[in-house]
Amino acid sequence: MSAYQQQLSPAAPVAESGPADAAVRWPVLFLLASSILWLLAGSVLALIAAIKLHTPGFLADCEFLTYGRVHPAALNAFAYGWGVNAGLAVALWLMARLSRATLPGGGLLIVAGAFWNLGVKLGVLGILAGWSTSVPWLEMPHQVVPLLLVAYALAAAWVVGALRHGSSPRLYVSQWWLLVALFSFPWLWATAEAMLFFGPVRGTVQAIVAAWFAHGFLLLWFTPVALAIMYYLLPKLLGKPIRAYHLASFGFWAYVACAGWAGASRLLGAPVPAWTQAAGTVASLMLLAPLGVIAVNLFGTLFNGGMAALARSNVLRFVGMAALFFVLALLRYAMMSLGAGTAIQLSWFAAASDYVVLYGVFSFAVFGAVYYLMPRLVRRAWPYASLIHAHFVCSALGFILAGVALSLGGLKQAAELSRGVPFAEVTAHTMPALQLATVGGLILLVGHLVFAFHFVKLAFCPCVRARAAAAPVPAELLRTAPELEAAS
Amino acid sequence: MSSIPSHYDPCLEPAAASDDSIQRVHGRLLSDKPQPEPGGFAYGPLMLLGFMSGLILFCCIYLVHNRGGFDPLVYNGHIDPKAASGLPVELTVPEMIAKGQSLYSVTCIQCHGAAGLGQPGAFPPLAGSDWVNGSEERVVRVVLHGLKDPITVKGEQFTSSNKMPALANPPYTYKDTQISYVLTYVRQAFGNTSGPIMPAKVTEIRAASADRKSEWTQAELPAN
Repeated sequence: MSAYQQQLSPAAPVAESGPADAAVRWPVLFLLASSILWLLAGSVLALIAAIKLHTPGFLADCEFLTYGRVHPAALNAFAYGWGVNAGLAVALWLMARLSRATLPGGGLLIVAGAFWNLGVKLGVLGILAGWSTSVPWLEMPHQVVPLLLVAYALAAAWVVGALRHGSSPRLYVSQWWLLVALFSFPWLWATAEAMLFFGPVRGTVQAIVAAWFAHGFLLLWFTPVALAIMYYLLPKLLGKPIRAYHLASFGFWAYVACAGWAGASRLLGAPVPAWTQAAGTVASLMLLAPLGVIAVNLFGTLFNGGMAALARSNVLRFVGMAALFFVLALLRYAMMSLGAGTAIQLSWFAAASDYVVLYGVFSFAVFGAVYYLMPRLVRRAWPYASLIHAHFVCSALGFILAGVALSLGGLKQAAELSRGVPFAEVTAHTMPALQLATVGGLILLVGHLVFAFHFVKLAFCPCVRARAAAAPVPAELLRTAPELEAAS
Repeated sequence: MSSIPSHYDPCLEPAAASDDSIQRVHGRLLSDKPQPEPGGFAYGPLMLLGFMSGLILFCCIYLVHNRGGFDPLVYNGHIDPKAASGLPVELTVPEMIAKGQSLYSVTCIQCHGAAGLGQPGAFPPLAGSDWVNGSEERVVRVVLHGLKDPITVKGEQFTSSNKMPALANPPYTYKDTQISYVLTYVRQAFGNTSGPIMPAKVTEIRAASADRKSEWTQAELPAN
């Protein structure tokens, strides 16, 4: 602690790691640490659920770990525990930096984070205890939701306040995306909870609300946070401006306008009004327009910066993967939205598409951001380069293995369901895909353990800290970063 | 590349640009859009515009085909619940009249006229005619198999060599439903106020007079 304070004394030059980082240090560390615990918990629960799909006898005697409980528990731990905690942490850091904000109230943020984590813990334990609401993505018992919403509001309001009271010269595209995420999530979530549990709407409308929320959560929380990270880190690491930046605002508005409607395409072929399904398909297809613009922005910048940078930078590799998966995810949703009359929405392909957003886009981007921001928060370099590399290899390998297996298995499953092959046979044919997905999940868990170990080693390990107190702050953090190149 | 230090530490990746310059440069890029060379084209925006237009066109067509009439009760835009039930489609009387009117304006209007008045001495009128407003059996038979002069309509003798053609035969080959629609229309148009004739009635009469080959004469069709 004292070491930090010394380094933050006014005599230190305003450098790459400046007062904005210092203002959010403890809240971001707290949120990241809890998000990583949730990441581990979610990975273990997801692995148990994945094993049960092909070996139903596994842990079958334990009521708390039956598939119907452990699968939603894994999903909610991953989405609300890892996703929202990590998203808020990165949003805090990024907004504070881009807005040059040194807003007080860091302690309040930690309290908000603590209540958020308490709420998610109650929610996930509630699911395991059998109180799931049974609505996908909203399984947490609705009694914990008001607590969670208040906790979220405290944290998100700080981020918006940072923008309001900071001294950002011009709004940067990352700030737009962060604002969309911060405002969309409570809007989607509070509306869905109110319409499904607090004052339930009737019949078909419930299914529409649930689909709208699930898709909105993915496309208006996870994806915008990831895009904010990508738009920030690419110029930051490459020293080149975003390619065709004047189109970025079109991409932004078109995306935001279409993303909310796209959820109805999840209900293709379901007993909901035909026009709703058609509108969902149209929105999913129209998302290809902003997709094109954003892809030009991101990949144009990446290629402009040279492949050499990609080869040596771990952060860029994570961010590049996230950009690739972003393109893939929207293409998959567009393709599925044209699958009227097929069973694709009921297959593993559809589930895998959601995992592409949740893991491929969001988690990869956040991993990249964490590897970039952590040294700046704690003012020390990561201990081992090899562990960062190992984490990347595990995450990429495990996710691609599981994703490809579930996608191909899902396509086959959908084709067979449409052909009228008996259900038991179709299920038996998905077995190899589910087994490969378990292997992928295992590799992911290894990667996450490496990540968690490395994080703890950097942030909290007492021996490292004792040495760090003596060691000087790395020169990189004290130097003033160079100017961005003006021409692209 | 000069902005990146030669020693690249993968454990603490160096920033290649300051936050301030990122925001300043991009702020400028937002207002100064790249201009094409004089006489040249900027292909990027053109391609984007083309792609967008194609996308919007496709989406419009898709929406029109799949909208299900924006009816909250239609869950599949391609399935007509009436047709899918396997039963013949029953139209309401106003729907029958609308269909009958379009049939009338193709086939009957040439002789009987837009106002159903016919032509004195050549074609008998339908407005106020006791043939039209009288027995359902008789008028259905006339339409099915035709009618030969001489006949008397509203006190006027028609003795020309014109014939009412048999609409059941080629080139007309009217179906029972079509005969029912056109008669239902005629029986309430031109000041007529008679009730509709259902397709089932036409089917019944067609079956009863299936062996009729030539036109009817007035003598064969008594007024009741």
